[in-house]
Amino acid sequence: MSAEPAIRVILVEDQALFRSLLSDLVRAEPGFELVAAAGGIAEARALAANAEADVMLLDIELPDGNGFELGRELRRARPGLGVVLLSSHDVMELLLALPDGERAGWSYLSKVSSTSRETLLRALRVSARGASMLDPELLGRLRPRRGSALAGLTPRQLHALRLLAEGLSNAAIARDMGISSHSVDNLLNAVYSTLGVRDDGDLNSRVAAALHLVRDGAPGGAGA
Amino acid sequence: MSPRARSAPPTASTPTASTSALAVRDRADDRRVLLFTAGVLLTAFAIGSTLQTIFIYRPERIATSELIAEAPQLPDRLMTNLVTVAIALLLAAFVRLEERRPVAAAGAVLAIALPVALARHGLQLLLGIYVAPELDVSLVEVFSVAAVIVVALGLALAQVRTRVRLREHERAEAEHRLRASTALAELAAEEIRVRREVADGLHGTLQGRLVLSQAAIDAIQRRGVEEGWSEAALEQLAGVRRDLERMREHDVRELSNLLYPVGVDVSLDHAIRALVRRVPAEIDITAEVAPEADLALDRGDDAVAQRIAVVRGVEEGITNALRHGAATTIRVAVGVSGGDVGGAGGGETRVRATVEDDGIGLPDSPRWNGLARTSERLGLRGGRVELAPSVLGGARLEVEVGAAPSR
Repeated sequence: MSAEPAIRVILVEDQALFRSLLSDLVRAEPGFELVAAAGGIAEARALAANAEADVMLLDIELPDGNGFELGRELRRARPGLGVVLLSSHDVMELLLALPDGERAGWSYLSKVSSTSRETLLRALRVSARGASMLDPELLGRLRPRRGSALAGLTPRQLHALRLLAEGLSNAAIARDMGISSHSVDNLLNAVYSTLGVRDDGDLNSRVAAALHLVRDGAPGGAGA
Repeated sequence: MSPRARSAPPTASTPTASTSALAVRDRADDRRVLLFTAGVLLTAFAIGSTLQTIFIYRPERIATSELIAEAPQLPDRLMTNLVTVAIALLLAAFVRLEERRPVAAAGAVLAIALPVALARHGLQLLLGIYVAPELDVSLVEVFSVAAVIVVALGLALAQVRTRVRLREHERAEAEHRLRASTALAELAAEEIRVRREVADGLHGTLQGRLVLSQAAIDAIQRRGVEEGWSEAALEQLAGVRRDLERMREHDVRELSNLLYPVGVDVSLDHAIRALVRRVPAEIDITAEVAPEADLALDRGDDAVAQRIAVVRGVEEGITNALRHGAATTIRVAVGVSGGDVGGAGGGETRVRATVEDDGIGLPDSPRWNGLARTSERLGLRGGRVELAPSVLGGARLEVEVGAAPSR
């Protein structure tokens, strides 16, 4: 184990059972520290004011408001705070409402997809270090919309983009695809070029590319 | 999931301070009308009677020389009459004639008319207009003038009463309209609250239970495999699981969306994006929502209801493009028109959404049931819907709702 400081988490979830399950999960995990758990917007605001945190795990549908708006509000005060959104709806397009400069550090997981403990912890880690991760199962269902730039990607490029959107580093993408890191660089450069994303080599261009997937990907829907 | 807390819409009650200020203004207004009406009538009579006395009642002295001889009396007579008018008006204002009940007002009119008429006659005697007149001449002077004052004040009072009745009627109408619109707004807010609650229930509770049921079936399936159940039984179980999955992923979602479109509690932009994303990937569809449209709707008290109206309209356009128009390309654009588009202010801002498609175009006789429903729904909100040919070759549906003016 590395001696890195623990990732401090604030949890906001209105369903009591789900909140206590998530709290237990975060507490039990080495390398994570639960600093606050709230059931609504007002409570979260009050707790967040006095708690130093690296990342928030935020339910979107809260009884006294919208978790996404709360995330934006708290991030304005602390731009470095990561946010992992949780929702029972597929509302990934919420992330499209973020201005370019605010997009890094946001992750999105669905409550009703087969999100596992590992996926959740990975999302918390990814967001805490300012990167983004979108729900792998929801991403897997997305199909490029006809006429969009996304439809211009080859299947391999699309696969690499999906892995990027899942929050994988280039090295991890290379491992997953069984290719060299250099090939991943080339593949992603081609993706950026097709999507018209400016590659600044920073997190923002990765997030911008991932959001293309959200904007121009139509959810297939397993049962539809 | 618990219902969303919402603030109550403003009620129709009027603050006391503004009510008393209004009453003061009304009283001042009534007095002005009374004095003006009575003043005009009495002054007209004062001037008329002066001229009449000199030029009409004495035709035998119509010769120019006699008229000139009579002329010096003219200012005295006129002044007497005008002073009479002034006294009558002052007394009417002093006793607040317009505020008295009818009987008291009649008494007050008489109480003003007689003394004023007497005073006038006294003044006539003082100025030598009459020198030792006979009693019946004096009586005629006094009573005829008193009668004129009674008539003038009576007419002025009638005028005030008519205005009061008209004003009360207008106020009652306005209050009635306000009450009706407040009740309607409360009803709409309640409807949205219930819709959201049911939609949340569908998503949170029902979907959660369906997930649990699926997990239970998975466990049974595993046991079945271990215990060597028949293929047919396992397939049946798998079928039930697929049904549950479809219900959870599709039916519940669709139902929830019908009740409360995803994203309308955040912004129009988000709700339209969520809607467009649901369209199958084979359809080339894009949506542009101008930030001004959200800003315009956010100014109103019922932003969510307005967003729902626009989203429903756009949904109608997309559904019809796909179902009736066999479209493959759809363009959605939402912007604002009129009012303060350029930030200049003034005029009504309207949020306008257009859905254009490349389908088969307008049907010969548009029989879109949904369109009629949309039209009706928008009509209730002061909006409208219009179907026209599109530059893309298919149909163009335009939906418009009014937005609150900029502040």
